Amino acid sequence: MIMRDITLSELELLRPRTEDTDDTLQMDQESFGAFYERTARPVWAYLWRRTGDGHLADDLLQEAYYRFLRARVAHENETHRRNYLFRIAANLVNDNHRRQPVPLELPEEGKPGHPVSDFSIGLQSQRRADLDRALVHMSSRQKDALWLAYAEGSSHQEIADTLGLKVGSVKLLLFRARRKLVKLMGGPMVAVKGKS
Amino acid sequence: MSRIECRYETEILDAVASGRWPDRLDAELRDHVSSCGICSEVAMVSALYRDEYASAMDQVRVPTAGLVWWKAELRARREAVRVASRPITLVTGIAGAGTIAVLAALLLGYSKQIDLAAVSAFFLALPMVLWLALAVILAVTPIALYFVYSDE
Repeated sequence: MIMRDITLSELELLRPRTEDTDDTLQMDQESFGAFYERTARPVWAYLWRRTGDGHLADDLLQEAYYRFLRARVAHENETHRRNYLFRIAANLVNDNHRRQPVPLELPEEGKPGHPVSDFSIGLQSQRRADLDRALVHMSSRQKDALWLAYAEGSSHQEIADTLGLKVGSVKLLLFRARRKLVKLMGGPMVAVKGKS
Repeated sequence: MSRIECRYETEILDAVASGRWPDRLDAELRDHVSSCGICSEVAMVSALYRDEYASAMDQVRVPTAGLVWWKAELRARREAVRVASRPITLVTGIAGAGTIAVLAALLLGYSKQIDLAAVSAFFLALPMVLWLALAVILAVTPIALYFVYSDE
Protein backbone atom coordinates (compact mmCIF):
# COMPACT_ATOMS: atom_id res chain seq x y z
CA MET A 1 0.00 0.00 0.00
CA ILE A 2 1.35 3.40 -0.98
CA MET A 3 1.11 6.18 1.62
CA ARG A 4 -0.13 9.38 0.09
CA ASP A 5 1.43 12.76 0.97
CA ILE A 6 -0.15 14.69 3.79
CA THR A 7 -1.44 18.13 2.84
CA LEU A 8 -0.83 21.37 4.70
CA SER A 9 -4.49 21.70 5.61
CA GLU A 10 -4.44 18.21 7.11
CA LEU A 11 -1.35 19.15 9.13
CA GLU A 12 -3.26 22.17 10.40
CA LEU A 13 -6.00 19.85 11.62
CA LEU A 14 -3.48 17.78 13.57
CA ARG A 15 -2.09 20.80 15.40
CA PRO A 16 -3.22 21.06 19.08
CA ARG A 17 -6.28 23.26 19.07
CA THR A 18 -5.56 25.50 22.03
CA GLU A 19 -8.25 28.00 21.05
CA ASP A 20 -10.88 25.29 21.52
CA THR A 21 -9.48 24.46 24.93
CA ASP A 22 -9.56 28.11 25.92
CA ASP A 23 -13.29 28.08 25.20
CA THR A 24 -13.82 25.17 27.55
CA LEU A 25 -11.48 26.58 30.21
CA GLN A 26 -13.40 29.86 30.49
CA MET A 27 -10.28 32.01 30.93
CA ASP A 28 -7.19 32.83 28.90
CA GLN A 29 -3.81 31.67 30.11
CA GLU A 30 -2.50 35.13 30.88
CA SER A 31 -5.49 36.12 33.05
CA PHE A 32 -5.33 32.75 34.74
CA GLY A 33 -1.63 33.22 35.52
CA ALA A 34 -2.28 36.56 37.20
CA PHE A 35 -5.27 35.23 39.14
CA TYR A 36 -3.33 32.15 40.19
CA GLU A 37 -0.44 34.24 41.51
CA ARG A 38 -2.87 36.17 43.71
CA THR A 39 -4.82 33.20 45.01
CA ALA A 40 -2.80 29.96 44.93
CA ARG A 41 -0.91 30.49 48.17
CA PRO A 42 -3.91 31.31 50.38
CA VAL A 43 -5.98 28.53 48.79
CA TRP A 44 -3.19 26.01 49.35
CA ALA A 45 -2.78 27.21 52.95
CA TYR A 46 -6.50 26.74 53.51
CA LEU A 47 -6.48 23.27 51.94
CA TRP A 48 -3.40 22.23 53.85
CA ARG A 49 -4.73 23.49 57.17
CA ARG A 50 -8.14 21.87 56.65
CA THR A 51 -6.80 18.51 55.47
CA GLY A 52 -3.51 18.35 57.38
CA ASP A 53 -1.91 16.71 54.34
CA GLY A 54 0.41 18.53 51.97
CA HIS A 55 0.05 16.03 49.12
CA LEU A 56 -3.72 16.04 49.39
CA ALA A 57 -3.63 19.85 49.42
CA ASP A 58 -1.62 19.74 46.17
CA ASP A 59 -4.19 17.46 44.53
CA LEU A 60 -7.14 19.48 45.76
CA LEU A 61 -5.49 22.70 44.60
CA GLN A 62 -5.21 21.34 41.06
CA GLU A 63 -8.79 20.06 41.20
CA ALA A 64 -10.08 23.39 42.56
CA TYR A 65 -8.49 25.35 39.72
CA TYR A 66 -9.67 22.84 37.14
CA ARG A 67 -13.27 23.11 38.35
CA PHE A 68 -12.93 26.87 38.52
CA LEU A 69 -11.69 27.00 34.92
CA ARG A 70 -14.45 24.72 33.67
CA ALA A 71 -17.31 26.47 35.49
CA ARG A 72 -19.47 28.62 33.26
CA VAL A 73 -19.97 31.37 35.81
CA ALA A 74 -19.96 35.09 35.06
CA HIS A 75 -17.85 36.74 37.75
CA GLU A 76 -18.77 40.32 38.62
CA ASN A 77 -15.33 41.21 39.96
CA GLU A 78 -12.11 39.87 41.41
CA THR A 79 -13.62 39.38 44.88
CA HIS A 80 -16.46 37.34 43.47
CA ARG A 81 -14.00 35.23 41.47
CA ARG A 82 -11.87 34.63 44.55
CA ASN A 83 -14.88 33.76 46.72
CA TYR A 84 -16.03 31.31 44.08
CA LEU A 85 -12.63 29.63 44.08
CA PHE A 86 -12.72 29.31 47.88
CA ARG A 87 -16.21 27.90 47.63
CA ILE A 88 -14.95 25.17 45.30
CA ALA A 89 -12.03 24.49 47.64
CA ALA A 90 -14.34 24.27 50.67
CA ASN A 91 -16.63 21.84 48.84
CA LEU A 92 -13.66 19.69 47.86
CA VAL A 93 -12.45 19.55 51.45
CA ASN A 94 -15.90 18.65 52.72
CA ASP A 95 -16.37 15.98 50.03
CA ASN A 96 -13.00 14.55 50.97
CA HIS A 97 -13.93 14.46 54.66
CA ARG A 98 -17.18 12.70 53.83
CA ARG A 99 -15.25 10.03 51.94
CA GLN A 100 -12.49 9.78 54.54
CA PRO A 101 -13.85 10.96 57.88
CA VAL A 102 -11.27 12.64 60.09
CA PRO A 103 -10.38 10.72 63.25
CA LEU A 104 -12.05 11.92 66.43
CA GLU A 105 -8.71 12.68 67.99
CA LEU A 106 -5.83 14.11 66.03
CA PRO A 107 -2.48 12.38 66.30
CA GLU A 108 -0.17 13.72 68.96
CA GLU A 109 2.32 16.28 67.83
CA GLY A 110 5.41 14.71 66.35
CA LYS A 111 3.46 11.63 65.23
CA PRO A 112 2.72 10.97 61.55
CA GLY A 113 -0.39 12.73 60.35
CA HIS A 114 -0.04 15.74 62.58
CA PRO A 115 -0.19 18.78 60.34
CA VAL A 116 2.41 20.81 62.18
CA SER A 117 5.45 19.46 63.86
CA ASP A 118 8.83 20.49 62.56
CA PHE A 119 8.78 24.19 63.14
CA SER A 120 6.37 24.61 66.01
CA ILE A 121 7.99 24.98 69.38
CA GLY A 122 7.13 26.20 72.84
CA LEU A 123 3.95 28.04 73.60
CA GLN A 124 2.98 28.51 69.98
CA SER A 125 3.30 24.79 69.41
CA GLN A 126 1.16 24.05 72.44
CA ARG A 127 -1.50 26.48 71.33
CA ARG A 128 -1.53 24.98 67.86
CA ALA A 129 -1.89 21.50 69.27
CA ASP A 130 -4.77 22.71 71.46
CA LEU A 131 -6.37 24.36 68.45
CA ASP A 132 -6.06 21.17 66.39
CA ARG A 133 -7.73 19.14 69.12
CA ALA A 134 -10.49 21.71 69.52
CA LEU A 135 -11.17 21.89 65.79
CA VAL A 136 -11.83 18.16 65.66
CA HIS A 137 -15.04 18.83 67.59
CA MET A 138 -16.26 21.57 65.30
CA SER A 139 -18.31 21.30 62.13
CA SER A 140 -16.78 21.83 58.69
CA ARG A 141 -18.85 24.95 58.22
CA GLN A 142 -17.64 26.41 61.51
CA LYS A 143 -14.03 25.65 60.61
CA ASP A 144 -14.46 27.21 57.18
CA ALA A 145 -16.07 30.32 58.59
CA LEU A 146 -13.38 30.77 61.24
CA TRP A 147 -10.57 30.34 58.74
CA LEU A 148 -12.10 32.74 56.25
CA ALA A 149 -12.89 35.36 58.88
CA TYR A 150 -9.76 35.28 61.02
CA ALA A 151 -7.01 33.81 58.83
CA GLU A 152 -8.08 35.21 55.46
CA GLY A 153 -9.61 38.36 56.93
CA SER A 154 -12.72 38.00 54.76
CA SER A 155 -15.73 40.21 55.43
CA HIS A 156 -19.10 38.76 56.47
CA GLN A 157 -20.36 39.35 52.94
CA GLU A 158 -17.41 37.50 51.41
CA ILE A 159 -17.87 34.58 53.78
CA ALA A 160 -21.57 34.53 52.95
CA ASP A 161 -20.73 34.37 49.23
CA THR A 162 -18.17 31.63 49.75
CA LEU A 163 -20.29 29.43 51.98
CA GLY A 164 -23.59 30.17 50.25
CA LEU A 165 -25.19 31.70 53.33
CA LYS A 166 -26.88 34.96 54.28
CA VAL A 167 -24.83 37.60 56.07
CA GLY A 168 -27.00 37.27 59.19
CA SER A 169 -26.38 33.53 59.27
CA VAL A 170 -22.64 34.12 58.95
CA LYS A 171 -22.65 36.44 61.97
CA LEU A 172 -24.47 33.84 64.03
CA LEU A 173 -22.27 31.04 62.72
CA LEU A 174 -19.12 32.96 63.64
CA PHE A 175 -20.45 33.89 67.04
CA ARG A 176 -21.25 30.28 67.88
CA ALA A 177 -18.04 28.94 66.36
CA ARG A 178 -15.92 31.43 68.31
CA ARG A 179 -17.70 30.70 71.55
CA LYS A 180 -17.36 26.95 71.07
CA LEU A 181 -13.69 27.21 70.14
CA VAL A 182 -12.89 29.40 73.13
CA LYS A 183 -14.73 27.01 75.41
CA LEU A 184 -12.95 23.99 73.94
CA MET A 185 -9.63 25.74 74.47
CA GLY A 186 -10.38 26.40 78.10
CA GLY A 187 -11.80 29.92 78.06
CA PRO A 188 -10.61 33.26 76.73
CA MET A 189 -6.95 34.10 77.17
CA VAL A 190 -7.60 37.64 78.29
CA ALA A 191 -4.24 39.00 77.36
CA VAL A 192 -5.29 42.44 78.36
CA LYS A 193 -5.53 41.73 82.05
CA GLY A 194 -1.79 41.66 82.21
CA LYS A 195 0.65 42.39 79.47
CA SER A 196 1.20 38.94 78.03
CA MET B 1 -31.94 37.79 72.48
CA SER B 2 -28.31 37.99 73.51
CA ARG B 3 -25.81 40.05 71.55
CA ILE B 4 -23.85 38.26 68.84
CA GLU B 5 -21.65 41.13 67.69
CA CYS B 6 -19.95 44.19 69.07
CA ARG B 7 -19.18 47.47 67.32
CA TYR B 8 -15.54 47.23 68.44
CA GLU B 9 -14.94 43.93 66.62
CA THR B 10 -13.42 45.58 63.56
CA GLU B 11 -11.03 47.59 65.70
CA ILE B 12 -9.95 44.43 67.50
CA LEU B 13 -9.38 42.66 64.20
CA ASP B 14 -7.37 45.64 62.92
CA ALA B 15 -5.30 45.64 66.10
CA VAL B 16 -4.52 41.93 65.77
CA ALA B 17 -3.76 42.23 62.05
CA SER B 18 -1.45 45.20 62.55
CA GLY B 19 0.37 43.60 65.49
CA ARG B 20 -0.88 46.11 68.07
CA TRP B 21 -2.58 43.30 69.96
CA PRO B 22 -2.04 42.88 72.87
CA ASP B 23 0.85 45.08 73.95
CA ARG B 24 0.31 48.25 71.96
CA LEU B 25 -3.43 48.47 72.30
CA ASP B 26 -4.80 51.87 73.30
CA ALA B 27 -6.20 52.13 76.82
CA GLU B 28 -9.82 52.61 75.81
CA LEU B 29 -9.90 49.50 73.65
CA ARG B 30 -7.99 47.54 76.28
CA ASP B 31 -10.60 48.44 78.90
CA HIS B 32 -13.38 47.51 76.54
CA VAL B 33 -11.93 44.11 75.70
CA SER B 34 -11.49 43.22 79.34
CA SER B 35 -15.18 43.82 79.93
CA CYS B 36 -16.66 42.55 76.64
CA GLY B 37 -17.08 38.79 76.19
CA ILE B 38 -17.51 39.05 72.43
CA CYS B 39 -14.40 41.17 71.89
CA SER B 40 -12.22 39.03 74.14
CA GLU B 41 -13.30 35.98 72.12
CA VAL B 42 -12.71 37.79 68.83
CA ALA B 43 -9.26 38.84 70.01
CA MET B 44 -8.30 35.35 71.13
CA VAL B 45 -9.59 33.58 68.04
CA SER B 46 -8.24 36.09 65.55
CA ALA B 47 -4.79 36.06 67.22
CA LEU B 48 -4.77 32.25 67.07
CA TYR B 49 -5.74 32.23 63.42
CA ARG B 50 -3.25 34.93 62.52
CA ASP B 51 -0.50 32.67 63.88
CA GLU B 52 -2.02 29.73 62.04
CA TYR B 53 -2.11 31.66 58.82
CA ALA B 54 1.50 32.78 59.16
CA SER B 55 2.61 29.19 59.85
CA ALA B 56 0.59 27.86 56.92
CA MET B 57 2.05 30.48 54.58
CA ASP B 58 5.53 29.39 55.65
CA GLN B 59 4.67 25.89 54.46
CA VAL B 60 3.17 26.90 51.13
CA ARG B 61 4.70 25.22 48.09
CA VAL B 62 2.47 25.60 45.09
CA PRO B 63 3.21 24.52 41.51
CA THR B 64 3.62 27.18 38.86
CA ALA B 65 0.59 28.66 37.14
CA GLY B 66 1.86 27.23 33.85
CA LEU B 67 1.88 23.69 35.18
CA VAL B 68 -1.60 23.96 36.66
CA TRP B 69 -2.86 25.46 33.39
CA TRP B 70 -1.21 22.74 31.30
CA LYS B 71 -2.72 19.95 33.44
CA ALA B 72 -6.15 21.56 33.26
CA GLU B 73 -5.86 21.95 29.51
CA LEU B 74 -4.80 18.33 29.09
CA ARG B 75 -7.67 17.09 31.24
CA ALA B 76 -10.19 19.30 29.43
CA ARG B 77 -8.99 17.93 26.11
CA ARG B 78 -9.23 14.34 27.36
CA GLU B 79 -12.77 14.94 28.57
CA ALA B 80 -13.69 16.51 25.24
CA VAL B 81 -12.40 13.42 23.45
CA ARG B 82 -14.36 11.18 25.81
CA VAL B 83 -17.58 13.14 25.23
CA ALA B 84 -17.03 13.18 21.46
CA SER B 85 -16.44 9.43 21.34
CA ARG B 86 -19.66 8.51 23.17
CA PRO B 87 -21.84 8.34 20.00
CA ILE B 88 -19.15 6.22 18.35
CA THR B 89 -19.22 3.87 21.34
CA LEU B 90 -23.00 3.69 21.09
CA VAL B 91 -23.03 2.97 17.37
CA THR B 92 -20.25 0.39 17.77
CA GLY B 93 -22.22 -1.30 20.53
CA ILE B 94 -25.43 -1.41 18.51
CA ALA B 95 -23.61 -2.68 15.45
CA GLY B 96 -21.88 -5.37 17.51
CA ALA B 97 -25.13 -6.48 19.12
CA GLY B 98 -26.88 -6.53 15.72
CA THR B 99 -24.11 -8.62 14.18
CA ILE B 100 -24.21 -11.10 17.04
CA ALA B 101 -28.01 -11.35 16.78
CA VAL B 102 -27.92 -11.96 13.02
CA LEU B 103 -25.15 -14.55 13.34
CA ALA B 104 -27.02 -16.31 16.15
CA ALA B 105 -30.22 -16.36 14.08
CA LEU B 106 -28.38 -17.77 11.06
CA LEU B 107 -26.63 -20.42 13.12
CA LEU B 108 -29.90 -21.39 14.77
CA GLY B 109 -31.61 -21.49 11.39
CA TYR B 110 -28.98 -23.78 9.86
CA SER B 111 -28.61 -26.07 12.87
CA LYS B 112 -32.31 -26.62 13.59
CA GLN B 113 -33.65 -26.15 10.11
CA ILE B 114 -36.12 -23.53 11.27
CA ASP B 115 -38.92 -22.95 8.81
CA LEU B 116 -38.85 -19.20 8.11
CA ALA B 117 -42.29 -19.41 6.57
CA ALA B 118 -43.58 -20.81 9.86
CA VAL B 119 -41.91 -17.93 11.76
CA SER B 120 -43.59 -15.42 9.45
CA ALA B 121 -46.90 -17.16 9.90
CA PHE B 122 -46.43 -17.04 13.70
CA PHE B 123 -45.90 -13.29 13.68
CA LEU B 124 -48.85 -12.79 11.35
CA ALA B 125 -51.04 -14.84 13.62
CA LEU B 126 -49.81 -13.14 16.80
CA PRO B 127 -48.83 -9.56 15.86
CA MET B 128 -48.88 -8.58 19.58
CA VAL B 129 -45.53 -10.33 20.04
CA LEU B 130 -43.97 -8.13 17.40
CA TRP B 131 -45.50 -4.97 18.93
CA LEU B 132 -44.27 -6.06 22.34
CA ALA B 133 -40.71 -6.50 21.07
CA LEU B 134 -40.90 -3.06 19.45
CA ALA B 135 -42.17 -1.54 22.71
CA VAL B 136 -39.28 -3.09 24.66
CA ILE B 137 -36.78 -1.62 22.19
CA LEU B 138 -38.43 1.81 22.47
CA ALA B 139 -38.34 1.64 26.26
CA VAL B 140 -34.76 0.41 26.53
CA THR B 141 -33.21 2.77 23.95
CA PRO B 142 -33.63 6.02 25.97
CA ILE B 143 -32.25 4.31 29.06
CA ALA B 144 -29.23 3.10 27.09
CA LEU B 145 -28.76 6.57 25.63
CA TYR B 146 -28.98 8.09 29.12
CA PHE B 147 -26.17 5.85 30.38
CA VAL B 148 -24.05 6.62 27.36
CA TYR B 149 -24.42 10.41 27.53
CA SER B 150 -24.67 10.99 31.28
CA ASP B 151 -21.58 12.06 33.22
CA GLU B 152 -19.92 9.48 35.39
